[in-house]
Amino acid sequence: MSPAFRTESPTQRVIHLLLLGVMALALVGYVVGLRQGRPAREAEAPAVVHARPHPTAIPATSWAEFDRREDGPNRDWPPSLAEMQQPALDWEAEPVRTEEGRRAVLAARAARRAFDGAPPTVPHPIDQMSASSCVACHAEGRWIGQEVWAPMMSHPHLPSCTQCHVPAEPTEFEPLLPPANSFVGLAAPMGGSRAWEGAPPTVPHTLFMRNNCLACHGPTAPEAIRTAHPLRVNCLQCHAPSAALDPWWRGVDVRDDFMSATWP
Amino acid sequence: MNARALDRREFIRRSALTAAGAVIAARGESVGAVSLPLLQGSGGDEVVWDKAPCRFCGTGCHVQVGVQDGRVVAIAGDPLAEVNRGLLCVKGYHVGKILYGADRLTTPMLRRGDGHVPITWDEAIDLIARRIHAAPDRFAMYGSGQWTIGEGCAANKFMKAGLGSNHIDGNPRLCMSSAVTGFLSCYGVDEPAGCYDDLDACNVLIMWGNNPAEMHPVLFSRVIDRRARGEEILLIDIGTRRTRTTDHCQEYLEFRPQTDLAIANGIAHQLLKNGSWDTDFVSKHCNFRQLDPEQPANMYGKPMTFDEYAAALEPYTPEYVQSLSGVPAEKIRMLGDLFGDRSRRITSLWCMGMNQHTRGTAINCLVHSIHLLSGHFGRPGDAPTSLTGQPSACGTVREVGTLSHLLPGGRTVANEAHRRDCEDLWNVPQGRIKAAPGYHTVLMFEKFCTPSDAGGDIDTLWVQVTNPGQTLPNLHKLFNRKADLEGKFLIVSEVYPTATTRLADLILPSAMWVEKNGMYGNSERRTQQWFKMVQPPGEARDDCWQTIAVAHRLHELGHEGMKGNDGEFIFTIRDERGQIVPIWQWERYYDVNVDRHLFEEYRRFTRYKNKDLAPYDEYVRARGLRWPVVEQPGGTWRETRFRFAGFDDPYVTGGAEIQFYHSVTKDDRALVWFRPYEDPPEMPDAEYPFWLDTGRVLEHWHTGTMTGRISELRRAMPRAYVELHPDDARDLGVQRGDVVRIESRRGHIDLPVWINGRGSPARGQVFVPFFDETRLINEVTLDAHDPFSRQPDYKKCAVRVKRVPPDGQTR
Repeated sequence: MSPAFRTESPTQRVIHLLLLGVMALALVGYVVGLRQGRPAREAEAPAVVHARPHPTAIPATSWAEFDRREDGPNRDWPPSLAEMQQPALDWEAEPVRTEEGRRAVLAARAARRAFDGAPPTVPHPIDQMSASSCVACHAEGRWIGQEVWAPMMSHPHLPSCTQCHVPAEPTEFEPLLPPANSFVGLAAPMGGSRAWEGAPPTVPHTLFMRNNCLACHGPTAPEAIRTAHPLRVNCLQCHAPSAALDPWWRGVDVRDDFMSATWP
Repeated sequence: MNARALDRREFIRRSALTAAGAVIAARGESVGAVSLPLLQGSGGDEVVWDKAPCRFCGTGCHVQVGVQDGRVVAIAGDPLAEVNRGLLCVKGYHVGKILYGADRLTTPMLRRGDGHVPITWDEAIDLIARRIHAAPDRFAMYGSGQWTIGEGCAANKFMKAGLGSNHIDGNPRLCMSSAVTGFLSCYGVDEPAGCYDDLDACNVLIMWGNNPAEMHPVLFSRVIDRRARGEEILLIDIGTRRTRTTDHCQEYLEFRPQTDLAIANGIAHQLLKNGSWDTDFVSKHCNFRQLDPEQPANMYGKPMTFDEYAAALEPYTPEYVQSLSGVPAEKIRMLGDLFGDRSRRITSLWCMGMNQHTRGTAINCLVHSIHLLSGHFGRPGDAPTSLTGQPSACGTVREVGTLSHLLPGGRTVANEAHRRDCEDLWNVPQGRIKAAPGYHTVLMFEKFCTPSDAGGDIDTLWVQVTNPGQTLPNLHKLFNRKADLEGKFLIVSEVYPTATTRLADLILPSAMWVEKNGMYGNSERRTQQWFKMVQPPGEARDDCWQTIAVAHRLHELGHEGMKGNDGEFIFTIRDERGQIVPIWQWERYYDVNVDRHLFEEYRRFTRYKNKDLAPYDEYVRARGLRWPVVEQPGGTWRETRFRFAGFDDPYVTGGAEIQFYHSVTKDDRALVWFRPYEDPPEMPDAEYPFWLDTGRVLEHWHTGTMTGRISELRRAMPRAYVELHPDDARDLGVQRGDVVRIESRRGHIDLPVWINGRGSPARGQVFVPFFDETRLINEVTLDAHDPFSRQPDYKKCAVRVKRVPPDGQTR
């Protein structure tokens, strides 16, 4: 028996076939890889990304995160407007409106104003150079997480936000003690009057620069000052404003002039 | 504006006329008779509203002031006011709080050793009068663009027609006087021809070294609100520092300090080179002008031909302007093309950038000149318009003439006919008014801070309604030195302790804003009036009363100057029955409306240069009126929006389209000036390598004595800082919040660094706001000033910047 013609065992044949397959696969892979022109080094990248940073390394700030860097104006807010979950609004829920609740709302409101009618201060850091970032959240109003509602602008036609609204706290430097001042501001009205139980209440404040009732009384408002019927949008159809509260008419004796004026 | 809105406005106008009668009657005042204002709003819970111009800047917004129980409780923008149409800025909304700072000055205080002790008003008035009486020539008065018109009238008459002294000057010398010399040089008469209506009509707005988003926010909003409504307006910021204004502009042209003159010349060069200058306008309405090298002090220079003008501009090619200014040549061409396009409506705005400039008169002249040369003048929206920083820099100082060389209504002390005229109108003897101009601001304080026996011939100085201890340049030289001098006496009328009262020998507590009657005149020639609404605190009294009381005490001491031609006291006011009202007694001061009487006297001075003012009662009814206000055949009074323009200005004659009726050359033509670029007196060098620029911020008004007492403003902007370019900060090894020392040849202060904060200066420049009384940047600034306007340059000097380690020692 010649040893030169030993037939392959079934096991060896399988191995050879496998090796052939691997070679063919490698060839196909090489050709495909060449055609795609992708450098082999690319495959190493994930390993670098997932490498554990050295404990003392300071992570670099990417451009995308520049506004939210530790000292940036939006450091406390979630990463992008699109990612902010906006809760579904219930447009038909009946709000529970109590006098106590209203007092709480007015107190919170007064804490950010020098007097009723003063522009509210801003309770968060701002971009010092540009007003465009204000509009991102305040144009239509937006929930920041579950707790904080960034209110809707009630005068969206005025684009220079920082002209009137300044941060309540200095954000760039150490705060100083507030200066002593004995000014006592005008308090906000508790509510409009009703001709009788069930009549629509009148508007207890000026409408000047308050173009959008829903900005303060819409479905996102605190319950105590929220309308029960936000889908009825022609508010002034039922709720009468008062010329006496309107700065347009101050200095004009409204009552007498309506009696005596001759229209052109 | 739609028809309905017009109807509404017309209705309100008509209503206001009838209502005004009721308002006046409620104050116990009858139109046309001696007035008797009463306080209002003292009963019960009701809020009573009245109108007043805002206390702060020169925009002249009207606010509605809500008074309850004798105190101001609320402020609203006044929608009836054409200036602001109901909108204010954050300062204006909080203006009511300025009255109620806990440290209001409430009693006269005299220096005793290192401190002050209370004295009575009688003692204070007597002390001042005796000091003046002993040496009237060594007394000077330093006032303010925050003086009401009445206060300015009283002080000016007291000094020039009473004491026969021209040593009275006002702080607009530090902020507006280059605009004045610019208007005089080009048109022969002060103040803008256009008005804020131009902001509604322009489609190109060029801001020259100007940051209205922070300094005149309501005017800036007037333009960008138009854009929010869909109108197309090209906003161009020509500046040395990125600001909030820049953020709204399509074009930001950053130039090296002082080279605004090169840019303006570059525009003129382009207009000539492209043949796009307005040959028709120039041939009809302009002459060419240059300084006369043989008479360099003559602001009006000498004529030049068009060919000479063109030859002088020849070097200012876009490439040469780029090499001087750093502004790319194509941007200079862009500006040239804009001005060369008559279909555009171009308004230029400027304020301190062009005025606080050692070549302030020159750059003012050049900006007027490119508007004239290109014909962008006299149509709504085509206007070179300077803005003012103070509420009555125009009304009280430029118009009443409370500067050392001026008399009321645009007259000058150097002109004999003007002096005679004013002596007649004031009813004082001929020769009373001195011909030589008094000391301008810088010189006045230099004399006051020089020993009396070494040429310092001002010994007693009375400061009203301003804070020179913080605002003068080079404070060590011009103010702080007073502390070590014998025989110098500083009187300060103030409402709060300030950097100035610190060195005062006598402090007089003053009433402020709606604690007194007043009138202001804003940037657009608009004269505004308000009534006293609340009582001043403690013993505080009107500045105007203080001046009149001192004048009367001098009268009692026998000073002849306090008598007029009729032998009566120069501030004699009679009631309806012809009885003299002793207004020098405080308790009788409000028996009449002194403001009204002073205004009616002053009004007679205003016709000479066609700056006509209406009777006082017209201003009671209006939200301000823009002069000239001319009586119409029906007895009504009509204001003027566009001066020198035939379609609007009643003083343009013969149907002319444009008539410069106060022309320097007496031929109804304005002057187109050539003024070359020249280096500033101090530039960065190896030792002091940085430019220092100073200015304001939105929240604080000037020295912060009022806004610093409003928590909403103080907390938003608590203290001064220095802005650095990020690369400069890196080279200096400093980060935000680190403290650096800013040091010039004159002084130094330490400030925290703010990088990419409110503004962003160019490389090699630093910016510091001047509102902070605990960190006086003016101890560092330069007192070099423009040779014609005498206005110092707060915008450019050389400093070095060093990191201050936490131990406080600079390396």
